[in-house]
Amino acid sequence: MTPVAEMTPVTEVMPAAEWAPWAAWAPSTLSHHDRECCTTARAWFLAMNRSMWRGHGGPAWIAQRFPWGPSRWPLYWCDAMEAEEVDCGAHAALTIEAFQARGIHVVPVQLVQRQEPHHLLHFHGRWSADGASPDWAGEGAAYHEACATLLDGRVEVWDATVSSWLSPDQLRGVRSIAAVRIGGTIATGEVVTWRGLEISLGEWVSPAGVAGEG
Amino acid sequence: MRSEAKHRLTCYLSGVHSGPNPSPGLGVAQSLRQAFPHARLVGVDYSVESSGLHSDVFDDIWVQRPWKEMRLPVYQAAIQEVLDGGAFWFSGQDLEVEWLTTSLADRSRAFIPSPEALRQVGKPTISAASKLPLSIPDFISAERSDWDLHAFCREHGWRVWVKGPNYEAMRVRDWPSFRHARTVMSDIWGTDQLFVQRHVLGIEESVALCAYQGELLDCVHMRKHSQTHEGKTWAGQVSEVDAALVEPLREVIADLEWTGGAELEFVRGNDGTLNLIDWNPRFPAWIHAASFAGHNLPAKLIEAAGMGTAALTPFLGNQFTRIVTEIPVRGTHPLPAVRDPLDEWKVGSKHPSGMPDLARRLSSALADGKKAGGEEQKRRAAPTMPAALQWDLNEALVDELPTPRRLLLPRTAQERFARVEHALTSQSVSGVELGFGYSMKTNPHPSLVALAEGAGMFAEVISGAELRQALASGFPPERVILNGPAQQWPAGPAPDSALMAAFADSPQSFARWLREGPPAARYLGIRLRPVTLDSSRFGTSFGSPKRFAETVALLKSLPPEQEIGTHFHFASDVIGPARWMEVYESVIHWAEAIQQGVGRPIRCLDVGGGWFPDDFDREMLPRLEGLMAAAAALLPELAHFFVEPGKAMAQPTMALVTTVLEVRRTREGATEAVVDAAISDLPMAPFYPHRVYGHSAGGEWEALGGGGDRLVGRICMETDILASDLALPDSLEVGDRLVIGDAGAYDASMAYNFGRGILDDACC
Ligand SMILES: Cc1ncc(COP(=O)(O)O)c(C=O)c1O
Ligand SMILES: [Zn+2]
Repeated sequence: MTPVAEMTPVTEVMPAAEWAPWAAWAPSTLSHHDRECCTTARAWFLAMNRSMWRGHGGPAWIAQRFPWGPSRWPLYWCDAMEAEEVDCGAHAALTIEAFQARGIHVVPVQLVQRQEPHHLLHFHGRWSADGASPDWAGEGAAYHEACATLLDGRVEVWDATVSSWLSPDQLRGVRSIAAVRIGGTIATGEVVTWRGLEISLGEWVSPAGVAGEG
Repeated sequence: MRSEAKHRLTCYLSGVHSGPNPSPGLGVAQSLRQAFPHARLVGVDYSVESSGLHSDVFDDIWVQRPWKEMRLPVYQAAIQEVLDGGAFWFSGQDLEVEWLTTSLADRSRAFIPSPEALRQVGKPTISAASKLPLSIPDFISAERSDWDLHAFCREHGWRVWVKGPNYEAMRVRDWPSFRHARTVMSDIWGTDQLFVQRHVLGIEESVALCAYQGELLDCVHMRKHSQTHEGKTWAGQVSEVDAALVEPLREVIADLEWTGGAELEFVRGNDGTLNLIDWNPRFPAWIHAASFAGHNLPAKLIEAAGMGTAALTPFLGNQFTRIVTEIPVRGTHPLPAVRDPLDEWKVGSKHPSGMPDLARRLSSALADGKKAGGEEQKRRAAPTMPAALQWDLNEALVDELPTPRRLLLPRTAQERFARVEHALTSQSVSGVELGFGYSMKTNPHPSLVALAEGAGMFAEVISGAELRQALASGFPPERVILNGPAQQWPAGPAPDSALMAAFADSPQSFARWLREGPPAARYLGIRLRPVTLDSSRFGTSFGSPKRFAETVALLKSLPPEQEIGTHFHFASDVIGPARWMEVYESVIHWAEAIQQGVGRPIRCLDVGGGWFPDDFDREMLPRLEGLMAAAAALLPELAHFFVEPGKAMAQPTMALVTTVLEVRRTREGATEAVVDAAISDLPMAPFYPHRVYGHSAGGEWEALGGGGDRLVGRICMETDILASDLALPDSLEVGDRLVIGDAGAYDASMAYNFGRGILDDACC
């Protein structure tokens, strides 16, 4: 069923203007005040994680507790833990902590996903109203973050925001993956497999092989 | 109208209701229509209210009398005639398949499996699946004793279903809802052959297949994306079946010599296991979605039967959703007149195809000679009678006591307390001292308190009154643990020396301690409310970092030399021992976080009570060492570990002796005995099963089994039912004694005076 045999470098398939602004972004990380406020907040998060998630599947409790919405960056632990909503970067950063606390090896995942073009104004409006940067949302595509568990050269991508495992074979439509980078900004040359597809860590690639399809 | 071809393919599709809980007939018809545009399709159902009958996919419809009233041999002959005329039959109802497979002389044109194959896919065992890489979730027959059924439900944390042998399942959450479900299900389906199965948390998936004479023709996988309240598919995605499943499935289908459609329903657990819930001997209602995803299973059956080649079904997509739409009702088959409502609750039928009626007919046909309708009442197993209890009852001269009378059972009580005494010497983790605090409130009877004291237990008290009673009963202050929201009530002198531990019930109580001076205790702490049980009214919530920080700050304000501890309590008989263990694991991590935040070691951990006696013996006592070790690993300076059993100690130690005042036989053949005890003597009667004992023919005491009989109390309250679902002895007479066991915990301490002609002294 998997219609794609190999990953194509994203530069070959996507108009630079569509994704270039995001290509240089680093995966989000939470900041720490190096004071008790953030120490307590992080200790609370880790104890919560123990209570709310047994280590099977993904830590779905995170998006349930912190629904998706605007965050202002830099985001500190103490503010994130009291927030009513956090964005996908915070979801991903928290999820990485959650997996690591259960002894599971994880790496960051950055994505460019297709979106309904007319949703752009809603995204911009909502983020701007909260004083958060709306730059993640483009016309027909949006920057998104997730994380991947890595075991024996195989990755599975957990999207905390939608609390589910992603698959590279959804090639069309809303939330389909136009481009993905697994493992952050540093290209190590290490190759991993994601549901049958080989991916070089640290490199932006497109699972679709064809840009702007759909 | 299409012209009638000579050897035109004709298919009868039964079970065509299309509602939130649809039958597959309509989907099968749509698939056949695409593959064989000129086929003659006849919709069959048992009420014009089966909505799919009115769809224009059918060339014709054949409406039968309801199952309840039809002459089965007449219908059988009619179907046989249709088949002999060259038509095919696709049955869309499990029970109809069951009936057809045993009653049709020639099954060759009905796409149904053999009776033997059907037997092998019967719930809950689904023995055919033993060769598949699927597991069957734990289950227990509902014909076991109530005592065993309650234990099963506790074991699975009350995440269980009561299920019928064919279909329908009701989720139950506690003993009252279990009993309700059992009654409803056996009424609907006319059978006691129910079973109880654990719930599996996970994603619901299924495999639909078609096979002809043992050859697997095709199969597809479907994952539910959304479902109705009843759990029926509403949207989903169709894909290929995993190769690891297809090959074994092919073999199983060959072994079964399966013919027809089938659906295997399973749950993919979060831990990756595949749990088979059901094997239906028919296509699923979403079968047409498989067809437009490229797998037209009904058409493959027709091809296999040698009826030509199917037209290609165009691929339209592998995801599907349902919609709701209106269609005109056939003029030839108008809806029945709207009936004046009898009472406002019964609106419409959940089963327009009348399946429950067929179920009742099939089960009474199976019961053969046995008279239907009660007389030959079904009896469920009796629980086993503990030997100590037999001894206690013999010693107590039960037949001579004035009744109703609550009886202390000395040998049973000694056995209970001896268990903790033994655990104290046998379970140890270096550096951590184990202690048991007897929960005084559960039953403050002086004999039990004395046994607790003698067994080396601590006294766990929740008020000044209980504290003073513990001291008067010989517990020194250092063997008392103080808990609860009203520790200062009623006011009285403080003990002479420090208590072992005191735990504030809330941040507010703790703040009061800081203002007014805390009780003198070796350990002070605050009760935590586990975050997964945040609806509890007790303890300090850790639901947000602010609340957590508040608790840390309160503990920090204690004088530096004060040792601190942590406490939680949540009844394991409500959430089940397994979930309790998970809560425990999370609590010790919270304790670790508190310890870090406060900058002072947690030296005492008190895990509360709430254990059902059998679980305490089987699940708690043997694990204590492991629990203590896990705590000590996170809390290196832990010195004391407390458990506070109340009902685990007291519940079996008392029984209620009662005398039969009247014996009534109901119309359904059940017996109802009015006794001189009442719900006020046994307030926990509805909440867990109490074993009931009567005299055997030989005069010995024996436990009564389950059935449809009831014990009702002496007072004028509808709820005054001491036991239901019981099998009373046929010989029961006025004046006979019955003993209701397991009445020594809250049944004793929460008993009230209603109906005794007296009032307690709390009013003036
Ligand atoms: C703090 C505490 N400990 C112990 C118990 C004893 O519980 P049980 O009698 O259910 O064992 C209770 C009961 O509510 C309690 O609240
Ligand atoms: Zn901070």
